[in-house]
Amino acid sequence: MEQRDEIDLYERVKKMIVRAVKLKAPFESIENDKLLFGGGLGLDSIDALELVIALEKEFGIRIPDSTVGKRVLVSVDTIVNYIKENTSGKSVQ
Amino acid sequence: MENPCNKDITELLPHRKPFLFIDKVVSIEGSNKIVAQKKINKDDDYFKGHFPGNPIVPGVLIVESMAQASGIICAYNHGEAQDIYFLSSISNVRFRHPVFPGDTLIVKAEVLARFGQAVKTSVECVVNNTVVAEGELVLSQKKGA
Repeated sequence: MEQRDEIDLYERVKKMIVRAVKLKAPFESIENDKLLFGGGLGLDSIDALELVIALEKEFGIRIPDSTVGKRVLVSVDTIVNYIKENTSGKSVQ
Repeated sequence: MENPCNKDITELLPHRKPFLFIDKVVSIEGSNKIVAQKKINKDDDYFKGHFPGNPIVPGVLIVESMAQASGIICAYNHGEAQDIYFLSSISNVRFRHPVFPGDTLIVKAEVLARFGQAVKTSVECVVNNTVVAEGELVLSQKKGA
């Protein structure tokens, strides 16, 4: 993935998070490695469900179960990595 | 899990009068869509205050009926009849027409997504073929005894 594409992907993921959980902070304020849950952004289980729905809607990527979800929905970094793993060889629309 | 249409409502919901807002399940489609029914009793106590001389069903009670229908389909969808589902989030709810004493609510709910203990449903209430309310709910599952 080109560096420009990767920056765009990070931005899309952050905007998706802000939209999905109605975060009262600009997307630019979310650090790539900041924890989404608990002491990080403070998201909860309802937000997790909204992120799962948003990932499928925005990127066509499913999170099949909560085991995968706990691995993926950790930070922006882990979400971006999961998107890249699941779209390798395909363009992220 | 047995088809909810064949069961008494008290076997499907933990709620009891005066806070039982589904009378019966009309139909189940697949494992994720339900149509249920609630007849609005003209003598319900809340009409004395909502509003005096102009009785209208409070919107929150319509939401509650949609949440209870969602709870039934969430349990059926997951195959755990004894689990309880609590209303956790309400979004994009619109009340399009008032509901009056004596109306029969047709309450529809569809499971959109489930992750962990949280389940999102799309809901709609219809009276005489007119949509009176619609929206999206999230319910949280609590394991039954």
